[in-house]
Amino acid sequence: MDRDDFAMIAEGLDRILTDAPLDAIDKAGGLGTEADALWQTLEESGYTLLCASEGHGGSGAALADILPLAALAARHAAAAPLADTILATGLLSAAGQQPPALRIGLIDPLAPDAPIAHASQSNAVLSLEDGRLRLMRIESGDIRSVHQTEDGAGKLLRQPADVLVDCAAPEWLIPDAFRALAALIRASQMAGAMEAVLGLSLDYTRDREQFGRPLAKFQAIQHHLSDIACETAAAMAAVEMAGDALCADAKVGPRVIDEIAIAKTRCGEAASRVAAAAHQAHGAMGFTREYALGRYTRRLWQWQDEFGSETEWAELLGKAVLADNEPRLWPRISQPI
Amino acid sequence: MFQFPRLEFDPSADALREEVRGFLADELQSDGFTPAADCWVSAADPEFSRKMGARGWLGMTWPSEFGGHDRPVAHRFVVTEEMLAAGAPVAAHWIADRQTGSHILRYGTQEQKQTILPRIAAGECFTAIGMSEPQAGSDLAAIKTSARRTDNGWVLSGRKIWSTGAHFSHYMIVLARTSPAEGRNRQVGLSQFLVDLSLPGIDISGIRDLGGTPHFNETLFDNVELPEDALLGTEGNGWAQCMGELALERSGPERFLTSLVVLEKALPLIAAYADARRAVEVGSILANLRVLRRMSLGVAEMLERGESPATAACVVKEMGNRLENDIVQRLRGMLAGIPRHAWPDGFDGLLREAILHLPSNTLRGGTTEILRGIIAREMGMR
Ligand SMILES: Cc1cc2nc3c(=O)[nH]c(=O)nc-3n(C[C@H](O)[C@H](O)[C@H](O)COP(=O)(O)OP(=O)(O)OC[C@H]3O[C@@H](n4cnc5c(N)ncnc54)[C@H](O)[C@@H]3O)c2cc1C
Repeated sequence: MDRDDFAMIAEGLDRILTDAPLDAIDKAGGLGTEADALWQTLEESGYTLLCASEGHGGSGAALADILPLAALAARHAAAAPLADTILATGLLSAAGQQPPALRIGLIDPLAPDAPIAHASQSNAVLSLEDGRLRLMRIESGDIRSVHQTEDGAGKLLRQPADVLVDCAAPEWLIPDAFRALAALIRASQMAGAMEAVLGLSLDYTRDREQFGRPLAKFQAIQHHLSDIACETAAAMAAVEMAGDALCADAKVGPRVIDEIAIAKTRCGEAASRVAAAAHQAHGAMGFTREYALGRYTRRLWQWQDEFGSETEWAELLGKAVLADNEPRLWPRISQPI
Repeated sequence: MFQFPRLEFDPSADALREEVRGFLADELQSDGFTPAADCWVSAADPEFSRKMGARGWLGMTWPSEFGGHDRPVAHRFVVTEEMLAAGAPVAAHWIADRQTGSHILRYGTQEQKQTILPRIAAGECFTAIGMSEPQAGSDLAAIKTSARRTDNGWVLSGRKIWSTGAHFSHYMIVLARTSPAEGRNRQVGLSQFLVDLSLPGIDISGIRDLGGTPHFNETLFDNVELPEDALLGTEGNGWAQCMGELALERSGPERFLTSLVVLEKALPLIAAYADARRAVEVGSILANLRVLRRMSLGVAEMLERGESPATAACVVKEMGNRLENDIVQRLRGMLAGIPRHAWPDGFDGLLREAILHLPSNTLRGGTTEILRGIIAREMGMR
């Protein structure tokens, strides 16, 4: 797929999400007729099969192409398992399977007991175990929602019985690679959400007046906003860098995993700082369920922890450095993609 | 809001990197230098600068007619970041190569370019920045130094302060007032001068920094007679020119790589005491540095394209300066619990030096507060 095609695909998604009643869908937990209608549009427009091969009815896009779409959906706080489903269908297709038209959540292969993102919004989950990809249908009774989580994250109460696909995973798809791909999607989502937080914070502090002038005129507030902008820029750069690495090696070799570890670490760190600064700049209004900021910050805090927190990924990176014969950072910092 | 384009290294840049690493390894082996923290301000060695000049590693991006080497920005980036990572003694030529030369290339007369640039590129001519004054730091437009026109040139009077390396420099670019401010607009009426520091009437006195090194200076200009062509660029355009200079000054890898050499020195020791806590710190530092470097490369790419990435440069410097502090504090945390007798030789001193340099990161080249203000203004908040 060339750049122009892809720009069109992104624009199309932006239009769909702009038109959808996303706030209402979010308040309904990503469930209900409006969520179903949105999903149907996404499916009919081919978004859910973006990375599936053309033979499987998909667009044959590279896995790295999910990233800008994930960021875009996150900018809209779209409560739907879009990015995870695109990854799942892409992987199934790569394994030679026709991906069924389902909403698919991903089980973290290295933390199978962690809450599964989108569990209650999905009708299937994908796992990777012992070199096999398994797609299992889930019913609402199979899930226990986790208190106060976003995007329908939940735990499986029992092993789903209805196995739709059980096939050998592509050889390169080891558990670390699977988790890294999912982590990179979260990193990209975090960057997208941070962009939205920046926009909200700018608008809010320009409108809201205290002491007879807009908050934006106060230097202390400007510094919070500068912080948010810097961290957001860093998060975006981190995702781009990992995306470049993934483009260069779609089979997610060790170098790609390192680059993803960097992205998930950096975005996770940025998320904490951005959320804190944005809430500070918003005052009590930001602390309400009603105002939009929380739709983003709640997700930031959740995405930080999904598919490995920044601490876990940093530990992985650091361990590798310290295990070297002659441990040095510079060769890794200056390494070409 | 702030997008950073990708700068690609071609195979020739990779080959250059190997060459630079080879050179540095040889120099280290032959005891040519002792790696230093904050080397681009703390470690001046004219002999080393001349060696770099001889290899064509100064003025790399300038045209060959002025002693440059017509190389892409990426090549200069490779050389500078390798020097910083090694803690090499690059302070003598740093400012001349980074900003003064490029600035002269952009605004200088043919004569200025021909007399000065080849010498900078050879590592034989060093320069200093004359912006700050005792009464004008962050508020740069408040400077009092003035230049008055005479029949055959200018007379410069005033006082500059904090000029890094002025004591060994040959020239200083001085920002001076050439006509009064217009009401509240103080940015008009400023001009830049390329001042030969050997002229009569100039008195340079060293100021010791926190660690006791005389690295910056106060410079007195007592009715110094400057030739007509000492004016750099256009009369009255000094403020805009200064801001262009600051974009060159703020974006480079020296804004986040100055403490790395200390951490690198300690890494084998930390590896010997490796545990999860230390691994997390090392990993986080790696992630932060690699991402900032990518952004800094993006600024270099914008400069190459002829864009003016002034605000993007502030983003890199702001985060980079914060990270420098972070690296040293985290390093102290990682060292906690490791017996002193295990520390490598001379490491105490190196760490101490890094700590004593930390406060300057968030001041020089524009303070954190000023940079955040610039970023906020770019977003329309002021
Ligand atoms: C190591 C070092 C090397 C230097 N080298 C050079 C050089 O080569 N050439 C040169 O010209 N200068 C040089 N400088 C000077 C440097 O540019 C100034 O220190 C800097 O611009 C700040 O000015 P100041 O020190 O007068 O501090 P001040 O401007 O007095 O600021 C003091 C504090 O007040 C804050 N502050 C000031 N104004 C505001 C505001 N409007 N809003 C909020 N906070 C504010 C500052 O951020 C800072 O925290 C160097 C400085 C250092 C430390």
